[in-house]
Amino acid sequence: MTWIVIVSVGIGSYALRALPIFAGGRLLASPPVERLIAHAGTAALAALIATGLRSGAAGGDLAPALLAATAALAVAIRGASMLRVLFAGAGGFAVASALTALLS
Amino acid sequence: MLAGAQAMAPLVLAYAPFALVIGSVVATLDDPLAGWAGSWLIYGGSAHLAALNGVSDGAASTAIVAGVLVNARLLVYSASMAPHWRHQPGWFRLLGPAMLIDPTWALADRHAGAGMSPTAQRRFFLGAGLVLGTFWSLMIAFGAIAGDRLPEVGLELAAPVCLIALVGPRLRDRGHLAAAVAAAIAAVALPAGPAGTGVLIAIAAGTIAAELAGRST
Repeated sequence: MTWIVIVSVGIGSYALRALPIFAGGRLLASPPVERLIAHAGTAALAALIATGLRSGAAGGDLAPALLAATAALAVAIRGASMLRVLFAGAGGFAVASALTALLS
Repeated sequence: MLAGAQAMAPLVLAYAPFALVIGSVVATLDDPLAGWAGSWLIYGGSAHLAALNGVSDGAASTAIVAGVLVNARLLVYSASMAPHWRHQPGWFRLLGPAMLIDPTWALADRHAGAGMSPTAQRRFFLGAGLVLGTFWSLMIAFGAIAGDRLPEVGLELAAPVCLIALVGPRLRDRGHLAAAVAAAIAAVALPAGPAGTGVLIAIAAGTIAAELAGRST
C-alpha cells in the first residue's frame, strides 16, 4: 500500500507542478495575473510560516516561537542573507526560552 | 549550477530537522524503502508527511487525497514560473517542475526577477533543486536510521524561520504585506479542516487582501 500511496501522491504533485508550465504560459503572461500569482505565492509562504510556528510550538510555549519569528522577520525584511536570518531566529528563540525558564 | 547550489546550502541545513522528523515516521512503516522513495517522488515535506500519516493509519485513499491537497499550492508556484520558463528546452520543462517546491521556487523566482538569461536560470534552478533533493533524501534516510535517538530541542522552528527569510524582502511592498498578514491570520484562525485546505483558504484570503490593498492606494 505504501508504494501505491507514494507513487500516486508523486504523480498528483507532478501534475500540479507541470500543468501551468505547459498549459498556462500565455494566459499567465499578463501583468494583473502575474501580480495575482505573486501575491498568492506570498500568501502561501505566510500560511506555511504561521502553521509551522504553531506546530513548532505545539506542546510547548508559544512565546519563544513568536520571538524567534519576530527576530528573524526584523532581519529578513531588510533583505539579509539566509544565514543571518537563521542566526537571528535562533538568537530570539534562545533568549525567549531562557527568559521563560527564569520566569517560570 | 554552483550559484544555485550555494544559494540553497543554508536552506537545506534549515530543513534538516523537518527531514529527520519525516525519517523517524518512515522508520515506523512496514515498507520503509517506499516511504523514503517519497523524498524524490513527492519532493515536498508537508505532503510527504501527510501521505505517510495516512499510510500509518491504514487509509490509502485519504493519504493520497491529503498528500495532493497539501501540494495544491504548487499550482501557484508553477504558474509564476511559467512565463520565466517559456523559452527553456523541452527536457527542462519536463524535469524542472518535478523539483518545484517552496525553497526552490522562492530562490528561482527571485533569481529570474534579477533578469538572468534562460540558460543561467536553468543552471541555477538545477543546482538548487539537485542539492536540496540529495540532501533531503539523505537526511530522511538518516532520520529513519537514527529514529528515536534524535534530540528534541526546538529545531522544528528552523523551517518556518527559513521561509521568513524568503518572504521577508517582499513585505516592503504594501500588496505583499497585506497578502502575508491576511494569510497568516487565516491559517491559524480557521478551524482545522481536511489536510491542506487550511493553506488553500489562507492563500485565497491573502490574495483578496492584496487586491483590496492595491485598490485603496
